[in-house]
Amino acid sequence: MNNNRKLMSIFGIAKRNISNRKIRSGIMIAFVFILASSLYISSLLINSMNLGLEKTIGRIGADLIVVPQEYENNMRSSLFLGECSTFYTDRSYMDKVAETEGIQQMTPQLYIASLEAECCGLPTQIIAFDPETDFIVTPWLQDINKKEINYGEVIVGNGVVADVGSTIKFFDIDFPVVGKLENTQTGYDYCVFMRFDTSKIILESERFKSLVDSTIDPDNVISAIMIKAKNGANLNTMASRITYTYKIPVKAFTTNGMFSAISDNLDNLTSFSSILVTISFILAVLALICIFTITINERQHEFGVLISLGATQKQLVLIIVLEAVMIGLIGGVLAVIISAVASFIFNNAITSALEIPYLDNSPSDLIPLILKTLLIAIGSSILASLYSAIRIGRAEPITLIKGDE
Amino acid sequence: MELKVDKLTKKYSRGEKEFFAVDNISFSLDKGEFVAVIGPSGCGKSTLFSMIAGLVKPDSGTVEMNGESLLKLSKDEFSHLRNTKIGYILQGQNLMQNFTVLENICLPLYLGKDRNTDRAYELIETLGLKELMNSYPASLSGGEQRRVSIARSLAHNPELIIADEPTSNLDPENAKLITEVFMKECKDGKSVLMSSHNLELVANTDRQLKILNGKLIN
Repeated sequence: MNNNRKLMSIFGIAKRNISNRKIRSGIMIAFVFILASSLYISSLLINSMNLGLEKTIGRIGADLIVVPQEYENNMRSSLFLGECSTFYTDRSYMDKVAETEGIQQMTPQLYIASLEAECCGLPTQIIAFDPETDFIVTPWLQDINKKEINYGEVIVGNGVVADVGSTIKFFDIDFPVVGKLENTQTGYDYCVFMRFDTSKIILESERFKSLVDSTIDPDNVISAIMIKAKNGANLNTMASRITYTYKIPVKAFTTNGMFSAISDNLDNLTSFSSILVTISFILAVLALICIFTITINERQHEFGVLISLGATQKQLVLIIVLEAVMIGLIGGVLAVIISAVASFIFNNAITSALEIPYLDNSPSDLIPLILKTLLIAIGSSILASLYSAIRIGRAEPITLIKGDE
Repeated sequence: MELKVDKLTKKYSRGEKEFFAVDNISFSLDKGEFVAVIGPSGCGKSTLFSMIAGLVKPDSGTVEMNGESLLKLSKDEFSHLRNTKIGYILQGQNLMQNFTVLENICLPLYLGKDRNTDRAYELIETLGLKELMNSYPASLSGGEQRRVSIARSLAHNPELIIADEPTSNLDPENAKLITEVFMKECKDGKSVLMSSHNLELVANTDRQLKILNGKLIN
């Protein structure tokens, strides 16, 4: 007979109790799974939105944004989500805005949306910039070792489906792609950039005139003015002055102010999600407490037998807590794996349904989220087991032995 | 091992009435002695055994094992004693349903520091459980389950074996086998305290203690 079998430990006893009580364990794991996956998904969404917003604001590089009145939403969606939009106003308003005290640099931009039609390769946000005054796009070119772009050329955001060396068609005109920007995980990843003089080719094209606007004056339009303020300048005062003093139909926003609506929504969403997670935490813990209490009650005699064989009550408590840890760990790991895989597979569907620029699936941000999810899953399971564990730990041995008689 | 029980008393209340489950019982058990405790159901045998094994706290009296008072021991110290020097066989079916026969027998070893399984395998042979080693309790007959339960209480080689009605509801063949195992343990220097209603088996013991209404009757 083989006498050299490895002896089971307290951990082994707990593990056996989990694996041989499949229905009970399965139900408990399911509760932990629901809690952990709702925590994981809601945190992932909120983190992604927060990070997207931070990155967008950081990427813009301007302190103030001046847009035609009533077009702030178009601008916001274009910058945050890369949504396509065409809007413009009179270039001459730049002269008025330039009178504002505190301006260090200012540069115009033009936003043109390509169409989802045969004339255009793909619906994309085109942003034209002025290389003479630009301080937004030019630094990005340096990141990809490109000093400038020439007349007629375009560079594309990282998410645009076009390779360097290929051409991209807008309003029946082919533009050579000479560069692709780094991935920024902002709406800019889905934009195409060109010089103002290149944009004139589009504005003057028959296709644009027939499909979008035939009255446009290509030399006299801009969509936004990006302003960098001097150090110490009061941004809010500058914005108020631009909006109210010059009597021109534009509105100025601080960059943070431009996204304050999104930021406020995000705060609301965070509070709402925290409440939901707290409710699901309480419900899951209550359900687990009930199941633990009922099953541990039924198992009193089993614990009594262990005591009669020399188990200490600390060992019994350890068995119950280890079972809780295993249930929490299995539920948590399943929740993390299934939620992570789902967020990878349905990335595009989720981002477009919830109107967020991207899902933050980068390992550096996912690891803390995974650890937090596992910690809460295991913690809630342990918390739920504590009442039963303490009760068994304090019970008289004979009460346990008589248990379910 | 020498066991000395002196004026052991335990009172319980049922509703408003109080009654003595064990009333001033004194006796001793010598090394290698096989003693049967007999008496009708509810006479106090199980309570007496539980108090000796530290599972129930007596109201008064003393229990000494090899001259050491057991009632001074803490819960953990008593657990250690049950895991090393006392083999306790509970009444009825007490196997852990999630564990195989072998694992059930080795349970005291899993819980303690003694990790030597040689004696467990020896008992499996002696009690004819070799073929059932990897079976789960649900597939065993009553007699087989009882044999596993006895092997489990002896696996850690205890000096004192306390068996609470180990042969109840067993066929004569199984009852005889179990008594023989206890007799062999006594020959090896262990002491056995067994309760039973089977007078034929009790006749094989060295001495009988009769309890009635919690009192020892000579």
